[in-house]
Amino acid sequence: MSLNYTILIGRLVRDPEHRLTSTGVPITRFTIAVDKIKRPGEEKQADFIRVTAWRRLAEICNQFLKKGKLVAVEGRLQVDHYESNGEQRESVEVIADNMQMLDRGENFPENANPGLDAGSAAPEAVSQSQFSV
Amino acid sequence: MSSINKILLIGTISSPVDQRIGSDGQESLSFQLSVPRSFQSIGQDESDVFKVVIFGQSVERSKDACVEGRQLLVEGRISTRSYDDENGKRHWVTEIQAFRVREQDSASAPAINASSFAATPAPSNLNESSAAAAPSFQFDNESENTEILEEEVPF
Repeated sequence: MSLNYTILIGRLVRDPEHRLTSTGVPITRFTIAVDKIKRPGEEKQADFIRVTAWRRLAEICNQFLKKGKLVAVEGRLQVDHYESNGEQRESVEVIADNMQMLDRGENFPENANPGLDAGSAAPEAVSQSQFSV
Repeated sequence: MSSINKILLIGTISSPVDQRIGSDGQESLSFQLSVPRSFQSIGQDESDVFKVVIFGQSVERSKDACVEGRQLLVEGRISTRSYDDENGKRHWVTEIQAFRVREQDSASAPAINASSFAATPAPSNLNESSAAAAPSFQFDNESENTEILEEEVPF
């Protein structure tokens, strides 16, 4: 028996990186800053957590997410091992299977003036702003 | 800003449990938790091994459950920190800061019953009697609970 489930809410610290794997599968990576609980007298601190999305969710993340956006991410935590300059390294990231946008940027159809923005790309999914694989 | 940082893991403790007291006098427990992946790609690891740390008040109520080889449910948050090594190179560490752990190992269930029978002054055959008594005790307890539930459900 095993379980590996995580849910996070945080802000993107930079724009997401999108690419295709050698077999043509879309992959999008981004890092979110998740605020730590602030104690009196302490400065605001955050955990920086790397998130990876695959396939359709990768395309959606790449299309709609930008630096500073507030998102909720559901997924599992994964550890990968790799070698860099002869050194054994470890990378820990969340593999997302659900992503929800929590703030509305200026390029969101709902917030835009409908009369001005009718022609912009607005698939139905955007109005829900929740996506999963 | 509202933030949520929550993680639930069920896995096996795959290292000795390290209990220590930090320079600030705070107690901590740390161990590795091996969580099998539900699906695997070729060439990938079969399970994820996470560093788990428990601080402060959680230590006292967690330490009995934290034994190498035991299966645990761990509830906590994902914590990241960085440090610079002797060459000035920065390393990032991601670990699970656990608030609550619970034993998942079915093999440990008789042990729990045995402790509840520990008051009985019969230490010589304690193991035998608790093993025999455990199943019926659990069964009675369970049926009793269902009755109460059915009567007291308010809707």
